[in-house]
Amino acid sequence: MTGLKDSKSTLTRRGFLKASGAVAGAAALAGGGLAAYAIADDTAKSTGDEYFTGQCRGNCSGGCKLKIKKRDGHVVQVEMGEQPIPEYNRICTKGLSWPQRTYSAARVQYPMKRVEGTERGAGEWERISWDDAIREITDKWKQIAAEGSSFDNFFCAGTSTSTCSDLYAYVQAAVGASGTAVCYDGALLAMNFRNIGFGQYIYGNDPKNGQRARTYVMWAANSARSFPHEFHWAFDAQDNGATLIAVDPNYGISQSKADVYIPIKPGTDAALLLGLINEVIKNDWIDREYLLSATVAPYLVKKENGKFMRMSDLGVAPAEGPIDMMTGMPTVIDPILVWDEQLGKAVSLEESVSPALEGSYVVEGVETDTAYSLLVQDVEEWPLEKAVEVSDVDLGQAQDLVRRIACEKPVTVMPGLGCDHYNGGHRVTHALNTLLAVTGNMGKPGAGLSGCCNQSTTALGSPGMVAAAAFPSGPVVGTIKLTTAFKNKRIGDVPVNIRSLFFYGHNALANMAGRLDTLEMFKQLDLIVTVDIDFTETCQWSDYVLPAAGQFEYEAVMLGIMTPTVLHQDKVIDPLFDSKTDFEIGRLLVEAMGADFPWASEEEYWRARAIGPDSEKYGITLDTLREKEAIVCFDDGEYLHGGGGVFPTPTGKLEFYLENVDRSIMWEGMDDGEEFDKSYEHLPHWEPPHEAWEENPLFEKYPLILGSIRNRHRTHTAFFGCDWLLELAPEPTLRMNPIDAEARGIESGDYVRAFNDRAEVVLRAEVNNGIRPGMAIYPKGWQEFEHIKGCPANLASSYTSPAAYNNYNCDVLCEVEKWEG
Amino acid sequence: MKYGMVIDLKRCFGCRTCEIACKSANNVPKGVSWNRVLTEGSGVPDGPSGTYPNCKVQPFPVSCQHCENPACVKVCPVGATYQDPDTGVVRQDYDKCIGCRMCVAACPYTGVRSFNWEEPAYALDFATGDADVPVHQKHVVEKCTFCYQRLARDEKPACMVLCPGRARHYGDLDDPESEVSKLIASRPYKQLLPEKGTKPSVYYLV
Repeated sequence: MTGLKDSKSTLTRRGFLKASGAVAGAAALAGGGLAAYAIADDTAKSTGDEYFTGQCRGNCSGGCKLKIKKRDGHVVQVEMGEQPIPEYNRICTKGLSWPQRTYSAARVQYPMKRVEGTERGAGEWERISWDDAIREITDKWKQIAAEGSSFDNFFCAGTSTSTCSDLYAYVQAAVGASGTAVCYDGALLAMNFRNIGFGQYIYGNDPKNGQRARTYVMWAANSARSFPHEFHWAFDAQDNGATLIAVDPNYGISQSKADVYIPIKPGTDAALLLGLINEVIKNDWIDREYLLSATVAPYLVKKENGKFMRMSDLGVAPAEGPIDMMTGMPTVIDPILVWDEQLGKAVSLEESVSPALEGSYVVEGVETDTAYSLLVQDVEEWPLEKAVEVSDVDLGQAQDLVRRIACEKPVTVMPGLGCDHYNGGHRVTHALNTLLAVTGNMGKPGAGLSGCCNQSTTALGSPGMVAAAAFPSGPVVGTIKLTTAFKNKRIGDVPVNIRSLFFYGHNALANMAGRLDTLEMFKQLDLIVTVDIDFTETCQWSDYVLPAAGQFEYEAVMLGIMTPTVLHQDKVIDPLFDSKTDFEIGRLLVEAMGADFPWASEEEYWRARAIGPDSEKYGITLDTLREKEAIVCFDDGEYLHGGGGVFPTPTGKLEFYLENVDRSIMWEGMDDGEEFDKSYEHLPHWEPPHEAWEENPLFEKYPLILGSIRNRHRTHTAFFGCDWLLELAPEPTLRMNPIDAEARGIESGDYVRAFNDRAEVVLRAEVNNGIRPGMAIYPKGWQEFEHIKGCPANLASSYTSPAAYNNYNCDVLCEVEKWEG
Repeated sequence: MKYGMVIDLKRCFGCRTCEIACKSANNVPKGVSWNRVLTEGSGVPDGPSGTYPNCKVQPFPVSCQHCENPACVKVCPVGATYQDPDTGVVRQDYDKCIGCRMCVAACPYTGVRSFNWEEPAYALDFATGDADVPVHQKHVVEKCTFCYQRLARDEKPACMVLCPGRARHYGDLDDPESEVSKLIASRPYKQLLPEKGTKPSVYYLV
């Protein structure tokens, strides 16, 4: 069989290789051995492989530094880039797939305009020039502004343009548009902001600190799938003797690594947590010292209005303190009172010698209770026996869990988003923070929440936001409130008139709950413009799609996301196709609107971005970043949130009792004026899911809870166009427990239809032993056009809890049956 | 020198980073995977065995075992499959391979070898990965090469660059001081089909 002809040439296979001098062939002919590959080394050099550095902007919580290889003008490989602190080294299937994503057929290649007269979403497109696109878009914005207000144009960002969000903040302001608040993950994030404030890793410790835990709890966190680069810290903790515990309705890879798996009924986590807090108090396992020194526990709360009693209530005028960076106004110093047991009177905490933890006290005629007493009362109705009944948790497991959290410290908790996506999710966060407060498990080595995303506001500058401050700002509407605000033409008392949407870094249609409601709104909007790298389903429904340059196509600097660094992104290749950088797109839009664009060049912008309040301290400039690739930007490698008992909250304490229960505009957008009992928000409680609850009459018709799981090989919908990843996960699936599948005559591989009164979706069934009976779980991230029919997002409603505006994507009931085609 | 791999099954959480690192570095064609991450006891990735809530999920990366006593080498009629004497790596010479697939039949580790029935296809029209990777060919068997081209440059095999779980190790099994030797000496392990007598060089820590 030698001499077999290669159909593409007249040479034999051997001859072809010999003739082309391909190194591999030559080496093989030479008979193997490592010595033969000495040639390989020279050849690698001679092909001109160049290496570049950068970061994966995968929109996950990874922040992987990249080693990018370029050959013959192409990005041919992306590998892990070595971190300044090697323990943070990280990469995953998505980061590795950047060559495919960079050159993907999914990329938007040129400015696109919906063909005049065709329906949105019909797929009729024409190519237009950048000049025409910019002019038509801005003419429309100007027209809308003239007919009403420039605030009738809305900018709607997601999270995947975090590197350029500072830039777009200026664009939005200069264009005079209103904005939206993301409302994603708010039950976890916004609530943590209220209880414990935002620090260097949003709500938590540097995740590396988890190595020191004695007890490590994954609460509704599928860490191995969704935080793969923080999961190895949990392994380290186990190696050091820690017990890894997983609390989750479903069993999967994360739970399989745990020493203890605690199954729980979905939407009941707050009930269980309240029971655990009750048990801690009952057994006198509270950390008294921590409660008194680091939390609001001893503060006196006025019965009449739920507010803290202050010196000003005793007639002492407040003093002015240093300027608050956020408000620009002087801080008000009006110390909160505690009851001092030794002195027998109410004094400020600072003056007290022996603050009372518990009790009711009348201070100058005003009735008060300590915040801790109010908590004790609050959890009285949650004996553990009741909590486990509601949450369907084994009593023994619950007792073991609380004993470990209270007595086998320090305790690290990795909070996940499983609970976030059900009504009442914010109360889970509240209850969890309270449990950690009473057991003294925050701000200490090995104790606290495992944090998320480097939020340094000092290592880099914010030239865009600073420049944006010169412009008046308009309404801010939470994404979950968009359809409501659109219909009602107001958000609370603030009139709004949503006439256009500009999406950037946001595949809104695939992520916002209540997709059908969103589409109804889309049909009535005057203008929809989307900027994206890839042609997503949001692009499909737009009037104009502007191609953004890919992440290797321009120089940038950015925070290291889950690593304590600032990184440099080299420009590896020129913007592909007819794409433009976000900087350029922003400049064109702003200038077409007649406003100034402060930076003469991209480099000028990034140079300004690299200079923040702490840049000098860490030696960060654009030049040093170019040279060093990555620079550590935190003092200590392992930031502790609430370290030393000081929290970034208004009181400086862990606020398990919330005095201020107002909405956070940053996260939730403006208040829509719903009537609800705000006093209920002071302390943790439990409420059932809105829809996904067996007491819902709908349950009879739709007995399965439709929830989601993270797709390992996508971040939401990102990376949808990568072949390698499609080989690993080729199509949308639905996982069901064997009991539920069998009852419906469903086997693995069958196509099934999940449906409720709103919509249906066809998915390929996967019978999965780890799925909790009564649930149907889909790996999230498949877009509507990737399904045979429908999509899961259509089955969800745009309901939001008035107490916490959020996208409650998993609060959904459905039924599933075989699909006959 | 005898290169081997040690894979810590306690740490492997089935992320398949090693699978794609291999595909990327070696420009592995569509539909082919030299380093599959299977799930023990299940046909689906991450599929738990057992009955809820008492389940187990065990991801299991499997590539060529680079056996000390390779069955494939014994049956190859043309010497296309051979064991490199210096490193113990079982290599494949695409040029000599006549596509008889005796090696595929002989190898007890079903699936680690693949045969290109068609012209290798790729998503991109240029090769990804290392410049000196042998070009893939139609009608030829291929498999994990232990990233021979990287070993020659004193670089880590692609699958060994960064396992997020820190579950993958490689090195010289003949050197008692190597990381792999120490791991095998200190922790319980299992191997695939030891009764076949192929003496695989891949050890799975349990």
